[in-house]
Amino acid sequence: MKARRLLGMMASIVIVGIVFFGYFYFVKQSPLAFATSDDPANYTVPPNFLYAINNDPGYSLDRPMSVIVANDQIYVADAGTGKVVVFDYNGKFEHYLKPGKASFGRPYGLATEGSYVFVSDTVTGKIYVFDALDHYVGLFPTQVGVLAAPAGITFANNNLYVADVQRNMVYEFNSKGSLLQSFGANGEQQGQLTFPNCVAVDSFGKVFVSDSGNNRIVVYNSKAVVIRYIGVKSSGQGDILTPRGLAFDQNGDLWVVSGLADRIQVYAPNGEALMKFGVTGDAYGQFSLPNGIFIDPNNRIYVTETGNSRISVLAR
Amino acid sequence: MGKLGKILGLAIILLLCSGATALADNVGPHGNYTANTAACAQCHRTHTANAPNLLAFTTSGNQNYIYRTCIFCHDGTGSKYDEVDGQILESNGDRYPTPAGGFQNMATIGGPPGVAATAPVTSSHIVDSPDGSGVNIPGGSQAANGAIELTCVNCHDPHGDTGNSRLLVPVVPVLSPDGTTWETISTTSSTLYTPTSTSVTINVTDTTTGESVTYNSAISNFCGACHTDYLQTTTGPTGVYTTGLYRHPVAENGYNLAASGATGYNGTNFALPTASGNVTCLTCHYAHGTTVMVATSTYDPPAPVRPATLLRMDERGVCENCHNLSPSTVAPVPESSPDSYLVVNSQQNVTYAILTFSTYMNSVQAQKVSNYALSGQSGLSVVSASLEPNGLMGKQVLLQINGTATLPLTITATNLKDLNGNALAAGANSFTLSP
Repeated sequence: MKARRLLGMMASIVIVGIVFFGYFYFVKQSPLAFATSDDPANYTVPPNFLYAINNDPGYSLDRPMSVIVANDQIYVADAGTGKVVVFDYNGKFEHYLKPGKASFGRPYGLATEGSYVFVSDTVTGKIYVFDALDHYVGLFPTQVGVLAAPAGITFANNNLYVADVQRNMVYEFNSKGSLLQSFGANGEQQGQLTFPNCVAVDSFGKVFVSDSGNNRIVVYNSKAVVIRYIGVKSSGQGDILTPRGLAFDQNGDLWVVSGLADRIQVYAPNGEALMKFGVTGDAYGQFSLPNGIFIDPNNRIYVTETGNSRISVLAR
Repeated sequence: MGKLGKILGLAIILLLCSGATALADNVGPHGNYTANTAACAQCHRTHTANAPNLLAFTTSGNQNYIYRTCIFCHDGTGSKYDEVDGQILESNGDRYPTPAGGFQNMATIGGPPGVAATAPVTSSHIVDSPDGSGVNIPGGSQAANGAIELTCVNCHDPHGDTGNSRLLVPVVPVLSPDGTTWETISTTSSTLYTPTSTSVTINVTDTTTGESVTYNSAISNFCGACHTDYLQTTTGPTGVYTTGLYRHPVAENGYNLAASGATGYNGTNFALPTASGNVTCLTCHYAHGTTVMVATSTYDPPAPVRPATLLRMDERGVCENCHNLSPSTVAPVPESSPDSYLVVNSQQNVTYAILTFSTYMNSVQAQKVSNYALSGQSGLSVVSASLEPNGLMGKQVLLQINGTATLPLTITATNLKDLNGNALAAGANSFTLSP
């Protein structure tokens, strides 16, 4: 009887262990990292490298521009191959998005709203919509000729924000495609933009634009009035070099990809520099010409690298 | 490839990616640094650099990082010059072909969104090879075959102090055949003749509607720095690396077309670009890539995989454009859908017609608005006609029509002739167009 009870206890421990570690194996997260990453406001330690989605014989990555997580999947807009590649949450290749009978040109931006996935394309000038099953729904119905080269896109407050890297403008559309307002103009003066690659909107409706050519983040209020710059040297916040991807973490702080610096910089909403990390290279944990960034609800950080043609997944 | 070589190469290239708007008729963000020294930090760190030459970057791994670095901006996301897809992106939304062509695709029709079009290149300079393998130099050092690391910096200097607005270098750096050191080939001296110019000089015009580039001097010498044996003023036989062969003449400042007595030459139908009437390498070839179709190769062994060899016209059209020994008497014909098509923009009340002909057309008649008639629809008028220069190279005309066309639309072309002087046949000179 005692032996049976002992066996039962041991079996229970094994089962609990399998479930516990199995969970972490499945989500590819270190239990240690889980135990030590409970403070999203801790900016003293850079995130840990978790895993990478590399080029593989089964699929192809060449200059991945942006990445999002939606519908428990990872979507990658890959400009070099002209495809949007879908992976499961562990980075295993699943399939490609197909925009009907047409083809993508150079897919760049990704956004999600509800379970829909939106893809911008800098060559075709269009924004494609897919449903939760990755079936093509149709084009986002913007007025003909408004968009030229839509790059970074994001949804906020039911509206779609589009950074157009050719027109040097950011556009805000409602969900039916009507243009509500635009931000910026071509140039380097107050509020102007030079090759804006990405746009992000915080929980207060403020619009953050990576003004790549002017090496700064321009912050507009919801009425398109400039209220702040982030990353300009004179502010003492540390320089941003060719800012590209933007993402907010759960703490409301802004993560910025400094593309030509192979670096990621984190700022408080008021522009205070909190952390920067990243060194150049092709080893895991290093970056080469990073472009896009996404932070998922599990605090995983996804970075697309156009130099190494891979997605680096980090965890806090 | 040696790490040092990569670093040295990258030292030359990185400011190509400076994000400021590049201007057509100067060196844009790649020079004039005393006026905008913030651009230095795009690539360099004074006290915290990661590589020699105070570079912020290091290079390693199996990618061609020089090419990757350049196209970080020159894919159109940080420069108006999208060299990957061979197009110039104007901030008003229009797109135009780059004069040099593209490396993966190439603009074939310039215009507003929905009208501008691209096509895949059929051959290009191989500037994105990870290790240079497979790259050889036609007319150059055969010992170096397969070992040449060719990247953007072999031809362009990101610091812009080259004396021309295309940043063309005065000295071409080439990785040694054994892959260990960088060697230089001077574009201002040759084993075969003494040049008279010191650097490539060019003029750039039409800077807001695409660009037109005129090469004034030394461009053939520039190409001949690597393609040594092909840089000849006589037909030969000549050669250093491939000896005793006969060559088409080109020269440092070009080979004068009129004075050359080229058999069958007819200046009125000549469509290729010259340097003040002189034949240069770029008269027949693009610098970056081409979309033309060439079925067979006339190139010395080893035959290239892609025989288009950067040519500007399908097959050997460039030969016949000068040496029209047996001019075709076949009349050009309109190509029907889908080669010709309409783009209707009812919101802006404008219609674009892309008319494709079976052969290369004479630009003088093809660009006359009065030569096109719209039938059966009132309120429409042709306001511009443009023979598109790239891709199909003079086989396509873009018409802008004020008004919203009802489909289908019939357009009749009169007085149009091809480069052989053959007119469109009456009764076979109209296009019936759908989207």
